[in-house]
Amino acid sequence: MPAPLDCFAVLTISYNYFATNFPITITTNNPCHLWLRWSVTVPQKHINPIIVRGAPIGTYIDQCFVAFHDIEQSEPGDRWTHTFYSPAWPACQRRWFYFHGTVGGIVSPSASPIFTKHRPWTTTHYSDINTGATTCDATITNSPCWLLWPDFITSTGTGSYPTAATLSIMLYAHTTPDRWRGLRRSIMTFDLTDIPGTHKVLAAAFYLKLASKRDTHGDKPHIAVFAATPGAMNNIVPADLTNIGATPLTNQIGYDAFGAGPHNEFLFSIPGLAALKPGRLNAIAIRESKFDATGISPPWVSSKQMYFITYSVDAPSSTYRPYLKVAHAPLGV
Amino acid sequence: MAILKALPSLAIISGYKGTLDFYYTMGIPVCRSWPRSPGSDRAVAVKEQWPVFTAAARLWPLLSEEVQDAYNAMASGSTLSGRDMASKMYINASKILPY
Repeated sequence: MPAPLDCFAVLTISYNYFATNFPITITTNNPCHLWLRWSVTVPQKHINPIIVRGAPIGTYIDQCFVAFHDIEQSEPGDRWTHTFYSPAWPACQRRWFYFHGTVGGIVSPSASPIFTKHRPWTTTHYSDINTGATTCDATITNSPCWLLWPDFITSTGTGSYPTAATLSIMLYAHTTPDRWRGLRRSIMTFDLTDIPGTHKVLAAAFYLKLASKRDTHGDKPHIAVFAATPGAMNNIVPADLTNIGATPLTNQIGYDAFGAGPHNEFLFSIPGLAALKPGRLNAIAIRESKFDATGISPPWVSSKQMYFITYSVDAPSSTYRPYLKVAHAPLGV
Repeated sequence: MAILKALPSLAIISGYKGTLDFYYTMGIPVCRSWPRSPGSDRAVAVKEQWPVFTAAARLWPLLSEEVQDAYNAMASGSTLSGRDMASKMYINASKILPY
């Protein structure tokens, strides 16, 4: 009989849909070194009776698992967290797999249950440049204005910039006490008609590259992705300033964490995924999420300014463009 | 344990419930005293097994929903629950899956 530390159990399992090699990460209750054993052959289950004193009292299971391959975890030694890379896992292939391994170099008697996963398709979407094509992106602004905070965040737009090289969000205080003079939000539309309408979105992420940012009085603004319902998908106009939701669809990224290196990643939450509709044109927006979306006024200070400026689809370098990644699969697969 | 020529009638067997236990072993009818739990007065080898059973029994609430679902799927169609399957796989999975 093994000691508890000779055994392991898989506690959690997660998938990175957006990496090219579809990594699987698990956590275990004890440090151990594991292998992922996978097969494309459906495991056959054999249910056998348990006979005690001549009487059947229940059933036990033999599980056939054939034509399998092993992938060793990427981390050396015994760990609590284990990552497995499957570079040869084609999209839309279903695999069955379980984990087995060693503890302290000795084969553990434990194994995980059999998991099954269908690797979804992953598609990347960009808005069209400028306006008039199928999709676009643009910043919408109400500036200059002279409004108290409640009127400021519900105000209508006075300008939009669908051909600008940047997208921005901004809150800008007036020199008059309690008055605000500049508001910016941005809308991006994407063509998801190449995803069949019968598919389900399993995961999605929006990527945005920072150009510059400012926080004059240490308010630490946040940025997040929201739903949007612009009047037209191929041209964003001032009236769309108020066609933006107030509930974040993704994680919020704080001022300090929103970096200038690679694109910043916004991962859609499970409820947020419902805002993305395969087979259609879709719109999302970026908005300041700590003050603007919540309606909570930051302390007024004359000429206070907080903003994030990011690159738009019209950026001079195509590698700076924002994009939307979607992992999807047919319903029921 | 006593070897019998044949098991008595069900009425007699029922009458001794709690006193005598009648059954077949290897096809031979036998009778023994009614089994009783020895409580904590167990052999050292038996006591050594307790920690792993305790650890296995405490695992279930720690598992994520997806992991629990995988155990439930494996146990479906048998008389085991997903939780039973998790305990078995933790203590010794070699009788269930290839090693």
